[in-house]
Amino acid sequence: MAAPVRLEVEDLAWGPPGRPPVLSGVSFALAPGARLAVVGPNGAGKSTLLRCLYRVNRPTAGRLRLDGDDLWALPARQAARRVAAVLQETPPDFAFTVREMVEAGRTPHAGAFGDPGGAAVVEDAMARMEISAFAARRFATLSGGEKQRALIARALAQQPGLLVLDEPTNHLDIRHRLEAIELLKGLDLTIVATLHDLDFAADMADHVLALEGGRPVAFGPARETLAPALIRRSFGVEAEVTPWRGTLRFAYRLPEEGA
Amino acid sequence: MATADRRPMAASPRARFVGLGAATMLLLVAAMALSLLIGPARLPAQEIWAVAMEKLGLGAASGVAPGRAAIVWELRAPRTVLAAIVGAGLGMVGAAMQSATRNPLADPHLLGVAAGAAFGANLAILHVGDAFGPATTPLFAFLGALGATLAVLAVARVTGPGTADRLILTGVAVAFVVTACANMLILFADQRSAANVVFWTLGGFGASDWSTIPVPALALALGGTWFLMKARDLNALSMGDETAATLGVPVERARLAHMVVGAFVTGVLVSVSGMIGFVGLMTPHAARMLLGGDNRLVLPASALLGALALVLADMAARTVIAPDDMPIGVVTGVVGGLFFVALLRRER
Repeated sequence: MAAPVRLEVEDLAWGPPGRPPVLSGVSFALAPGARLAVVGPNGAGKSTLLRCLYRVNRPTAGRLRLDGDDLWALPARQAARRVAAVLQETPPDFAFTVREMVEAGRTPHAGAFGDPGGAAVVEDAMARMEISAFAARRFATLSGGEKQRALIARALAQQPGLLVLDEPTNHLDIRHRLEAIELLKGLDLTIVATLHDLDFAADMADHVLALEGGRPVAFGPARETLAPALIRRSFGVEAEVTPWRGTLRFAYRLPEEGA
Repeated sequence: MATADRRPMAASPRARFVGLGAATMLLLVAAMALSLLIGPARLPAQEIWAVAMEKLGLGAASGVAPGRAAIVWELRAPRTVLAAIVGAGLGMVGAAMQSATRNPLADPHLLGVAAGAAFGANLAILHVGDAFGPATTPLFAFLGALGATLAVLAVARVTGPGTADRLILTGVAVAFVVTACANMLILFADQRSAANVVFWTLGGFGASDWSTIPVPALALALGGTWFLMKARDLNALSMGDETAATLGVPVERARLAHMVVGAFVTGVLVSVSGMIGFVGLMTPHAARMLLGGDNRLVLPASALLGALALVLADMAARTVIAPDDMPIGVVTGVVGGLFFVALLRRER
């Protein structure tokens, strides 16, 4: 497993060609092994930021540095050995088994002479995500929680230093959400994840970046940043934040008329 | 397009591939041997085997009359070999196209290949004649396929290739225009020769001899090597554009390259065989049903199944209205359609 990376984002901006930027002025730094939750209302630019990190949106300004190296100056294959992503894409079923799905994580490592040692990495990733028992099953037949674990295993098979996740708790039931969070906390990786659910953001992350209208409005330690004032500003709701067993729990209501 | 089967597969896909590959290979050899028996001239089976063994260097001089030996070795043998090559190519290209476009309904004739080949063939058959000898129609069909593919790529530069669906739709748009032009050629031609166009379009191996073999064999070898080398990238592409990008695959460039290689191979195949539907669409589905999704297995398995399918279809085409040939596209259309229905029923 590669060592977790230090991530530095410097004045990052992105917009579609010929249009005003939908994300701009984003700067922050994460120490190796830090876990960042990106929060904000719909359309805040969370997914855009993630796409810059997993190399789908080439930044129109600013830099992304992994241990000092410019991410977008790396060849695609090298970048894919350092940054892995778990996305919400749902392509048509091409009959892949779970093992074949995880093996795809070796794509950036495999050369003309195959992928020596890759099989062991794949087995190890499946064991860590506890999916070895159904390695031969078709991916399409898995439950939501199992699919999510298989996709994380695929990302681990890339042996990255940075793991990017787009709403990793979506479509999971309560128990599977909590398990997914615990699983992510157990990985020795730098993590950047978008999370709609602030409870889970507080559980998973040590840092929080809040976006609004494509611009950063707050960045800092999770406990201090997820405060009622930020939530009111970002989401337009009244919030009560309660410390609970070492984490935070949130209750919301719509603001009163004229208040 | 996969079975909703919750049971784990009995053996690993690789073990199944070895079994399936060996079985298909045996069936293919058997079918090709049997196909030597079929034809209007009734020859005893012993003579046919004797000729085949002699020519393959496996047996002594057969002593069969040269005329009868020529029927076996100059007419029937190249025909079955060509059927196997074209079937293998269509099966493999179909599997690659489906993965590259993430579209289970993609087939080798995407990107205007079918329309362009038809235009070229119509031009040759109806308006040029045999100006370049017997290779005129194949040559024009190939140039037509290549020209249409280039036109699709040129138009895609204007519309922006972007997603797989946009590229396919661009191909459809260009194909409509090219098909209209091809039909125009028929309108302005001598109506008596229009029947030849229909016959060519529906495909067949009746006109093949050994000189027909090298070019499609080379195209299959080159295309096959390319796709097998890129099998992992094709896997990644079939998992989603953004996912493929996170796996280090340059998505738009890779997809375009795969589709151009596929169109080139198909253009060569179509030029010698005419339009043969369903093989390229169906065999990859059958391969995935049996083996899972890994293109390192699905590509060679699709090639083997495609070869077997076309050798069998060609045998049927020679038998149904013997001593005449039925166009092989009719056979693959009927059998392929029924197979598709059976597949859908199984997947329910």
